[in-house]
Amino acid sequence: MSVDVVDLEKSYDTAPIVRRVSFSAPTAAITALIGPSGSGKTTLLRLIAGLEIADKGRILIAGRDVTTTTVQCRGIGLVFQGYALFPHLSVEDNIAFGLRVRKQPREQIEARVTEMLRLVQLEHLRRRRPADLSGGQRQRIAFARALATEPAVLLLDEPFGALDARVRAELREWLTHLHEETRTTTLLVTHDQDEALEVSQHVVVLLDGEVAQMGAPQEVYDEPATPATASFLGASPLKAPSVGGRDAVAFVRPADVRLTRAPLDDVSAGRFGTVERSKIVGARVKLVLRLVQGGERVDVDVGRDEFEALGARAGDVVVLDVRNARVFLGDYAI
Amino acid sequence: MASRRAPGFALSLGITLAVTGAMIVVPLLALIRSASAISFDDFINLTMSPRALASYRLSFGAAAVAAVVNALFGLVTAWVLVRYRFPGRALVDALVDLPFALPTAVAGLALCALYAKTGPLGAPLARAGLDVAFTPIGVVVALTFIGLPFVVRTLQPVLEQLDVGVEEAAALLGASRRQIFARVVLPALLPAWLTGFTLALARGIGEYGSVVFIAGNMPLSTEVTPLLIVTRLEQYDVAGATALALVMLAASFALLLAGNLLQRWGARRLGIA
Amino acid sequence: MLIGIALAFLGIFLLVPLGAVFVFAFRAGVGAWFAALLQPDTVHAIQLTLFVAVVVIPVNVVFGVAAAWLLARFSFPGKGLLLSVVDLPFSVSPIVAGLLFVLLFGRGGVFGALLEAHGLRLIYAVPGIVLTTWFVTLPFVARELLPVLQAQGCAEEEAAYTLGAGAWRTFFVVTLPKVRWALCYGVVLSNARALGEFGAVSVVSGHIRGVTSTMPLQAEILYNQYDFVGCWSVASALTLFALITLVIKKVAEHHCERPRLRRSERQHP
Repeated sequence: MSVDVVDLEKSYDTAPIVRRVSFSAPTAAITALIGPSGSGKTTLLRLIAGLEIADKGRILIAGRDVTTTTVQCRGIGLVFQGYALFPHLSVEDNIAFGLRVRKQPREQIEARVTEMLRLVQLEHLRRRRPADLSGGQRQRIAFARALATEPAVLLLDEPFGALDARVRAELREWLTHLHEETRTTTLLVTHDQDEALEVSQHVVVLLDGEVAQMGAPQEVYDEPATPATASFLGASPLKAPSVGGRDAVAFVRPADVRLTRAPLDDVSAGRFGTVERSKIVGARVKLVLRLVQGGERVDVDVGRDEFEALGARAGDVVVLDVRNARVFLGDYAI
Repeated sequence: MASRRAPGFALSLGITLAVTGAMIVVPLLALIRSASAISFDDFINLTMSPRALASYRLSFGAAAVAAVVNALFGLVTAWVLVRYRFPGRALVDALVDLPFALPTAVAGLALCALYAKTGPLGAPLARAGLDVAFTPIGVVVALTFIGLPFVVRTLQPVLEQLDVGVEEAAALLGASRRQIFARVVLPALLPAWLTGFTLALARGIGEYGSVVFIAGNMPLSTEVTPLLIVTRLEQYDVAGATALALVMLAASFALLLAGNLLQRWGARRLGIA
Repeated sequence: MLIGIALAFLGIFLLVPLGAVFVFAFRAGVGAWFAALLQPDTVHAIQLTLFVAVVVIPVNVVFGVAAAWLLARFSFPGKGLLLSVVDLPFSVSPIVAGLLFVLLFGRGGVFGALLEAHGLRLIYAVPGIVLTTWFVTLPFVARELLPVLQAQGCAEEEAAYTLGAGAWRTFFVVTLPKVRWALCYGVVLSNARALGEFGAVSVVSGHIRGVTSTMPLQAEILYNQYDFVGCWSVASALTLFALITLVIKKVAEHHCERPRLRRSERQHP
């Protein structure tokens, strides 16, 4: 049950939020929609869910045009950012809600609720109220509720946004397992690129309401198509030697820079930078350098071992060895 | 005793206890002292006389009818004020509080003049065979006016804080608009709705100013309990007035308790407590 | 459709009576309106009403602030009970409220003999009116302040203490400005009730024209004398106060609009 979005457009009060967006989310995969806040990804998700009505374009689920289908009939499960559990209903009644509305027989509902609770590993919370649960538990109940009606597509709107780092990491792994079991076509909206790279099989990068790039996670990460995408994916711009008379900009990720001690006599060996400050962050060290030539700032992230082997202190000059830089030509403003 | 280290506990406790003690507790004790002078048989005679019973029927009955009317239209009004944007909304919103701000006697006078047989609304209604002023219907009209803000004002904040995501979630799970309202919105509103109803009811039972003008005040038919108390007092029948006041006070306490329990229930339901 | 139902309901029950008061009042012209208000007894009623309000309001502010502070900032045994007691005047019938003070200070009342021995009279006199008005308006300020004080928490006050500000200074410089609009609204509400209280005051006043007659009582007296111009003039003057109250309420609300997540966290710019 793939999801296909064709030339979708949506504006609020003449401000375009989604501009001619087209992409396909393949069947039984997790597709991540990533982009900074305000890039239109949540609106796009709400359009697919049928909670907003598109100005132009079409939405197809499993090849069927659902552009004008009501929310109720789209066969979509949505896990909301704030979960939106029904506060007055128990966990069990929350999960059963969609089934009761469909007037399914009692025993069937009972069985399905049990199955869902087992799936999310929260059988013991059956009769609790949402207010009694932890954030992570609420999150999993929201998944169970959305999956109970066997939706063709599962939409996740920043599902781990409100949780602390440790629970987030656990739930990412849990989501991967859950998806392996259910194989439901899933669209995940997130601003967190690590989350997208870890969980998804397919990534769509949205910037300013437009699709900037899509492809396999590794491909998008390694080969950003535009400076904007490169910048969103964590690389910072550096002036590169001009190519054929045109200015060039190299995008470099902090982790892609190696540092060595500058040989005092050889000034031609690559780029030189002065260490401005360094900060040990757990097993990694974050450094801020200034290029000797041009004075541009470069952020570098190296392993603790490497840093200690380097033995550089503030004011020392080091050699930068840049790998995997993406170079773009043109008047890209730094 | 203070849980947090904020200053001014003794001072604020002193002022609060002194004022509530002198202004509320002592007067209540005076009522109880006065009531304790009445023998049990007299008390039954005073509070169960046909005239008293008729006045309870009118006060409680009309207050209940008015509270139901307010519950229904108050829900619609609150819904419209929260969920729709239309020109004049702010004005309407402000106007809802009019019965709180307007002296009850003025409301009573205005309603009486409007609904009297010669009044601008009363005349056409009388021709249609419906007398409003000086009948129990008039009492209901006055109590509807007085109780109007309670339901609207208790529902409004709850409606505003209702997470729209919850309704969207229900729609995604396949619930129709009616199902969403009945299964998601109404259960969330229920405690506040009942609280508003209780407040309007309590206010209606004790109401005097807006009712005396329009009620007609005929013993056994259009005399409300507060008016009967006034009549007893004017006849220097302090015992009679005290006994009736005790009945009313008991009713107020019962409703106050009901209101508090409803609020606690509502909080627990939504897991706030 | 729903808007229509709501507007029709409000129109019939609110707007029509409101309009009627002014139509009746100005039917005989603006001159007659002023003349009616300037009758000696009516002037005295206005003076008495304003006097009562001026006495009751400051007292209510002090009590309201103290009670709201106590109930918002501290927890202690019996707090729930105290809250119910403070709320009591709201749920007691005004007639019962008036009766309470008659039973306390009237002839044969608890303090009746004592007062008589000293030649003092509270009931059927101005002090009785002030006391009953105080009773019925007692909870307003506390009730408006309490939720605001609770919602705002005490972080800012604690910040002021750590910066070395004393308790009183913190209260006047930090707390009071934060809650000023709620306080203002509480004052306005209790003022409206003080000006317009009818049932409770009518029980203790004795209806002595030109002596213990407040504006609402004066309206009733004039109505019973078929002096409709006079009656509606007084009523419309009270209604004007009510409308001013509503305007101040709107302004106060506008100023203390608390930041609140209205719709679920949508990301529309």
